[in-house]
Amino acid sequence: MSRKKDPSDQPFRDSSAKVENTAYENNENQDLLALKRLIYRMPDREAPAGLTESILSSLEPKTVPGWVRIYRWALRPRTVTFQPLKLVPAAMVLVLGLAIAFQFGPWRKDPGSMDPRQASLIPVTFTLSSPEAESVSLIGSFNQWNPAGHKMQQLGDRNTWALEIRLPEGRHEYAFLVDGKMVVPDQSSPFYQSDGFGNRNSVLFVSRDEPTNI
Amino acid sequence: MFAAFLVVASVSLSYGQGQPADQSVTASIRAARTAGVSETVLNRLMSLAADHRLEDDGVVRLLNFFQTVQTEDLPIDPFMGKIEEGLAKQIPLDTIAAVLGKKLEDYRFVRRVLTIKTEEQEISHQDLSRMVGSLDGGITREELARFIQEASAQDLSMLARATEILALLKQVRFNESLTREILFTGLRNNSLTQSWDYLARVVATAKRRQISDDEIARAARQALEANQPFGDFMAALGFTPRDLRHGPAVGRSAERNQ
Repeated sequence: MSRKKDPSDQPFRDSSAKVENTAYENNENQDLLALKRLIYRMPDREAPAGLTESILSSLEPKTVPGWVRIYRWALRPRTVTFQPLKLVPAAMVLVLGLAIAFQFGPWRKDPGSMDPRQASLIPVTFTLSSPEAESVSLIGSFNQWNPAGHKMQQLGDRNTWALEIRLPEGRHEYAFLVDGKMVVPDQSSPFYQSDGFGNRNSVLFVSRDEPTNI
Repeated sequence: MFAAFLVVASVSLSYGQGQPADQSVTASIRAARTAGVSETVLNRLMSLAADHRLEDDGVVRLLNFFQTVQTEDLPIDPFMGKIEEGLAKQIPLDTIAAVLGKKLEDYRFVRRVLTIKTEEQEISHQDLSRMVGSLDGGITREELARFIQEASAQDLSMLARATEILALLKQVRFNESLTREILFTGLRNNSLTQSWDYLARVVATAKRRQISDDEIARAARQALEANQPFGDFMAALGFTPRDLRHGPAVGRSAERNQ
């Protein structure tokens, strides 16, 4: 055990730095110095044998709840290093797993099972020959005469525009809206209805019943 | 329905915060609602007004028109459809209003004729619209009135079907006197059922195949008198369904190509 150094041997930093202090402070410093000298002149005694062991044995280990340890673990910052090339197999496995899940999972839509409302509709294909048209839309009583969403597609021959939609059974009026402004009836339909505005709407009968599906 | 109510309510509210002209829109919406015009119809109209940027006085005019239609217990949908059709075809609102007015007169006319014919018998909106539609299909009011007066009116749905077929057969230039014979036979025998909606299509195809009007009429009369299925009439003319396909292709593409 090393001998403690007497504080009176070294300059008392506080007391020497503050020479301009009041007389009261000087007296207090003197008392402190005297007390320190007294403590340092006391004889050193060896600690009793087994003191360290007895202190350590009296300390019981702390039990930390599991959730606290998990919480601390989760909060602890970590650095992850990886090599991109080594991730490729894992990514492939993930993609494969997702593909299988979508193909055979419970949310997969059976092509045979259709929304009942859709199933009750009958597919009808409309065509118009108009090689000079820039755009053609189908408007009719079935879409509230709204051309949005019923744009026809130009076929490979560049002359014919076509669109297949599903319609409920019954009688429908329709016309083609060419380039957004010109109303053209369907020349292939033998029936028509005056629209009152100076044009004709074509008339179509849709039936599920095959013998009358004409 | 609730969403539609919210839209109309919000439109009403926004109009209510505007100028005097806007207030008249709000008042018209309220009046139309009070008259019984459905929220769905009001919503459709206000959406159209927004989409096509209709002036307030135009909207008021249409709302007042709907109020009249509703008050007279006429179907609103055909009028709503005509507005949508007119706007889609970029027809000026004045012209649309004129067409609506004429259509309203057609409805009143047909109902008057039917009231004389059937007295207390109720007619559905659907059948009424069908009869009015025959006027747009090429027959005159006088022709329609005469046909209704001469026809048997046990079943108004069949009568409505007959007027529609009357117009369609006129379009394909089928002999008018034979047309009346066929239809009167069906009405008399109560056999002009729903499947006969397709009579005009069969006749159009038969005429293209050079089958005479007399021959077609004979087969139709026989089937209707014997209350036979429509398929028997087609078979009597030597048709299969495939022969009759014309106009837009009905059915799946794959089926059609087989």
